[in-house]
Amino acid sequence: MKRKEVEIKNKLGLHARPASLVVKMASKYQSEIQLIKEDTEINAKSILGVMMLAAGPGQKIVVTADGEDESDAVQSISELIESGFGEELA
Amino acid sequence: MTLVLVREIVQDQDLTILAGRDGLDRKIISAEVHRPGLELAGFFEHFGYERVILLGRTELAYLGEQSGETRKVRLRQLLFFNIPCIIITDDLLVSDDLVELCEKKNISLLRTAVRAGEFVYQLSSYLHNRFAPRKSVHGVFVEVYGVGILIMGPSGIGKSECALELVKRGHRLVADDAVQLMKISDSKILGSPDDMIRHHMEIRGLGIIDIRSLFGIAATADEKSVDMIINLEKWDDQKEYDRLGIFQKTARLIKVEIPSTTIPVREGRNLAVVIETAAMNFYLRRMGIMSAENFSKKLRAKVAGEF
Repeated sequence: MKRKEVEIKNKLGLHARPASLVVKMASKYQSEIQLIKEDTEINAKSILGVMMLAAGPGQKIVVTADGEDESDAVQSISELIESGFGEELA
Repeated sequence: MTLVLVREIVQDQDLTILAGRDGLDRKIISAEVHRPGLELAGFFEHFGYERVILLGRTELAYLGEQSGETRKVRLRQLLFFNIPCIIITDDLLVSDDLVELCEKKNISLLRTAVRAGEFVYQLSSYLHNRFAPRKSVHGVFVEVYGVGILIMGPSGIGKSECALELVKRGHRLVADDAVQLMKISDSKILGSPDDMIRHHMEIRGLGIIDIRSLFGIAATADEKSVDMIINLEKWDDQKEYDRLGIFQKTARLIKVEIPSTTIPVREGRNLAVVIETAAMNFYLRRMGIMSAENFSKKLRAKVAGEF
């Protein structure tokens, strides 16, 4: 089980487009991947779940993964989130 | 641990603030609501001061009957404790000394128009709800013939497609993808959608669809008890699946045992029909009609008769 805390960097936060990027990335891995914001924990492979987090710029999210490719999964998802999804940064 | 701030009950219960605005950030940690009869008479042993204090017609009338000096002493004793707040019911008027004391002690003095007896119930059920253990799970929650069925399983197994077919057949969607569970008693869990994604669904290839707009108001429900869990998993030829259904398996959700069934998924298998049947079978079982057991009994009788 791997976990990492990341901060939302882009100005618009985790809106629909970035959410779909996160899900696309998460679905490449076999591991169970969760995103946690405060006391809400959702499956990173579910688009509605990721959008439900409604995470805004500056907010912190914990990425966790459990499975064979957990290290790669946590690394690439946290890099994706911290890169700001190629959007304007806050 | 969950806690509720006094300002939240002011807002949610529509209370008027009479005094002690500085006490609005006090924390409430108990779902119990207390009418301090014995305390007003001077008996403070075993006084649970973490509870919200309610003063209704009886309590205020009793205080009114006391001499000014006694009343002051009793109120001072009551407010000496670190109580979260005081609520006056029935829109009653309060004496100046109570207002002053609350102001001085920074304890919010609040008022409601609701009758005391009713308000005790209303507030404590609100607080019980707020304090109820919660959890969010990945799955799809549907109501099939009135039975709340939580469909779980790995991503991509077809939970949403299955729920969509159930909706098409006249059943109701409660939540897709993320289900918020709340334990309301030792044997009951309620499931509901998150406000954000309420009555929406994601279907691979179609994207996000709005079930209420597509299928109408009757196709969705906002809240339902979780009566059974259906786990979908990939058909595994090596695995033994339940062929009799005599023993009811259960799964634990927030420390509550819920009847649970695992259904293997293979292409071309009509899952919606299987789930509808599971729901009807659930009713039969609850009515005491155990199909599998009865069948087995009949078989035993026949076998015994032949030998």
